[in-house]
Amino acid sequence: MVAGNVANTRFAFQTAQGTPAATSVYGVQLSGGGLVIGEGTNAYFEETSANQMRSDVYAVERHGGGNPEIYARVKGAAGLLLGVLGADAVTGAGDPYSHEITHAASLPWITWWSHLGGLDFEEVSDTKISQLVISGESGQPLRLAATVMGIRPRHQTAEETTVALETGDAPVFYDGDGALQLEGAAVASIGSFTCTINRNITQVMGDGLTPIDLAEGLYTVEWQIGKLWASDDLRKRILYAAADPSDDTDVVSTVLQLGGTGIDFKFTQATTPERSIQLQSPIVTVDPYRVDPNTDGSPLREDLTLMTLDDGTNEPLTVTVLNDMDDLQP
Amino acid sequence: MKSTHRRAKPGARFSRIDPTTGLLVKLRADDLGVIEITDPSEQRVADAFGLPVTKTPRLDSDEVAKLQKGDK
Repeated sequence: MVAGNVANTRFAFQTAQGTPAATSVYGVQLSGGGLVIGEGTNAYFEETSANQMRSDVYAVERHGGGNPEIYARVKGAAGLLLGVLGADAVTGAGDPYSHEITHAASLPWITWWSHLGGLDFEEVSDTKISQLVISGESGQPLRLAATVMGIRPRHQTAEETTVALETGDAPVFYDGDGALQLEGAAVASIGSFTCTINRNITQVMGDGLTPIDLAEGLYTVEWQIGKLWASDDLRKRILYAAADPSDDTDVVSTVLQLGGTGIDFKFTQATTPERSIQLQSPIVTVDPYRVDPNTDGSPLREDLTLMTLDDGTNEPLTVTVLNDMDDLQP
Repeated sequence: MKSTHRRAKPGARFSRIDPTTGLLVKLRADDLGVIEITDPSEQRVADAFGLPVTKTPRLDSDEVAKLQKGDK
C-alpha cells in the first residue's frame, strides 16, 4: 500500500522560459494542498455509434499545476513570495540577508519537482505562481498556500534531491507579539489574519498540446484581519467618518483608508541571526462590517476585510524576509 | 549603449524579470554602491527598481580618443 503522506516538493527559479532549472534550490514539505504535477483534460468526439455511445476521445490540452501548502519557513517563504511578487532587492554582507520583495510586472519562471509515495516523480517547468495566501492565527505557525500554474510537465525516474528539505525557522503567530501594527500602532487584540496576493494568471494556448505562455492579470492584495472587538471607533470611522461622531450623524460615502503606515505586520522567529517575515501595505481601505452579539456570551470579535490600493507613489505591498540566502535566484 | 552608473546601498543586489526580453536580470552594487549598467535590459530593470542615475553616461573609448586628439 502506498503511503499518502510520503510527499515533498522542491523548486528553483529559471533564467528564462523554456529553460528548466537544472537542480532544486528550495525543498519544502507539504502541510496540505496538492503537489505541482501534470494535469489535463480530455473531450469526446460528438459522434454516436451504432450502440448510441461515444466511440472516440481526444486530449484537449495538457499542462502542469498544483496548490501546495507549506509552513512559512523563511527560505521557502521567501521563494514563494518572490514567485508571486517578482522583484527582490537584497542587502547584507553576511547572514542574515534582507530580501525586500516587491511587485514586478513579469513574474519569474519556476521549475518544480514533486514526489509522491515513492512512485510518482514529476518535473513541471515554466510555471508561475498565480496566487499566494499567507495566513496566521493565535498559537499556530504561519502558513502559505500557493496556486501554481505551469506549462511543461515531464516524467522523472527518481526524486530530485539536490537541496535538503527545509526544517526549522518557521515563524509562529506569537513571533509577531507587539509587532502587528494598524495605522502605526501595535494592536495586541489581533488573533488572525489572511493576506491573499493574486496575480490572476491565465494560460495562453497556442498551436500545441501545452500552453505557450502564462499571462499576468490584475494584481490584487486582500486582507482579512480578525480581532477582539474592544472599541467601535473603526466602525464609526467607516460609516460616519469620525471615531466620535455627534448625535444624528448620517452615513458618509467616503471610504475609509487606514492612516499612518496602514498594515505593518512583522514576525521575528529568531533575532541572532534574525529570521523574520514582515508584511507592509501602506495604502489600505476597509470595507464596512458588522459586529453582532454572541448569544453564548463569548467575547465579541470583529472581522475586517481590507484591500490594498495603488496610489502611484507608495509600493502597494512590501514583504521583507531575513534569512541566510544571499540570492533567492542563484 | 553607453554605460551609466546607478547608485544603491553598497553591496545591494537586485533581481527582476525584464518584461521586454522575459529574461532574469541581476544587478549588483559594488562597495561604493555603484552599479554599472551596460545594456538596455539592465537599464529597464534599474528603472523599475527606481535606482537613481548618479552620473551622466560615460564616454566610450572612441569618444575619449577623439577628445584626446582634439576631434569634434
